[in-house]
Amino acid sequence: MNSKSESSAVNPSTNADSTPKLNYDIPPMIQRSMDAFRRDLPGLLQMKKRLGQWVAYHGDQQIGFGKKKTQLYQQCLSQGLKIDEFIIMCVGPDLPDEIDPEELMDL
Amino acid sequence: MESSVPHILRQLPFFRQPTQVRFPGGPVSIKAYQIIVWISVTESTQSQLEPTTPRVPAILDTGHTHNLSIREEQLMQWARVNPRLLPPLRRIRVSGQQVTLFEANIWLHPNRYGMRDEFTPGPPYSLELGGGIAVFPDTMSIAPRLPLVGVRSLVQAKLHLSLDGRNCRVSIRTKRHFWFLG
Repeated sequence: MNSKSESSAVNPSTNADSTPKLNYDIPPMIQRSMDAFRRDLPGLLQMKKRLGQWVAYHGDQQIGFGKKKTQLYQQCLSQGLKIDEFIIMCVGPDLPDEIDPEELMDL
Repeated sequence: MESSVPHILRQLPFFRQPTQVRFPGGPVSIKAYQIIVWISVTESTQSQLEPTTPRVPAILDTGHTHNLSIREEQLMQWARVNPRLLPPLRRIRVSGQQVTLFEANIWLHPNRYGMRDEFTPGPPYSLELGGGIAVFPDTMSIAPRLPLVGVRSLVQAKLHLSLDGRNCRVSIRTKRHFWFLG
């Protein structure tokens, strides 16, 4: 996982040799952070001033709000968190758990 | 940037007949009435887009409920982003199969006025995404043919989208700032 925080995902040399994986494991701290966000979301949606803001979670802990996601991301990293230990989500309706396949059709 | 460059897409055309876009991997077929925007995909840590980051054609799909849906192969070969280096956020289901959402942002490339596949020299606009992008395994038969950009991504950025049906044009701009109102 360390390599994740040290190397860039945008890689000019990425090519067809990079074997795609079908399933990716969700890092445990991201899973906990996501669970906490989804637990808190109904309450956050009631707070008008928070709507459209970005919120950071590190495990069960809500660690801050911001108006720009990238800035909040940098704040979390500067606190020593690794990118697979926290999430930053928008205070707004959550993404659905399912995509209707009809949305993807290109007829 | 919001106040100095309010327009991102200016009179971007779409067409009543099939077209093609030129792309390094070969021409890409575009169906009638599909609105094509050009995007880049990056990690969320990036506050600026490297000039060498590839542009990828995507369908602006008002019926799509997620931020961006893209095939794994297109993410890797077109956008040059390796999903293994993006944080996976969660899994969703599509027709009973699992698809992973990855933390990432997308960038919208401003077009040259009235042109679809030509660009202004100005900086691309960062669309900060809440919840990440859906990356479809190439083996999934229902994976989208081309990347799909959903309206959700525009809403999160508080952008204004307008469509001129008479002339088949689309414009996207940021919120207007009225300096005299402070």
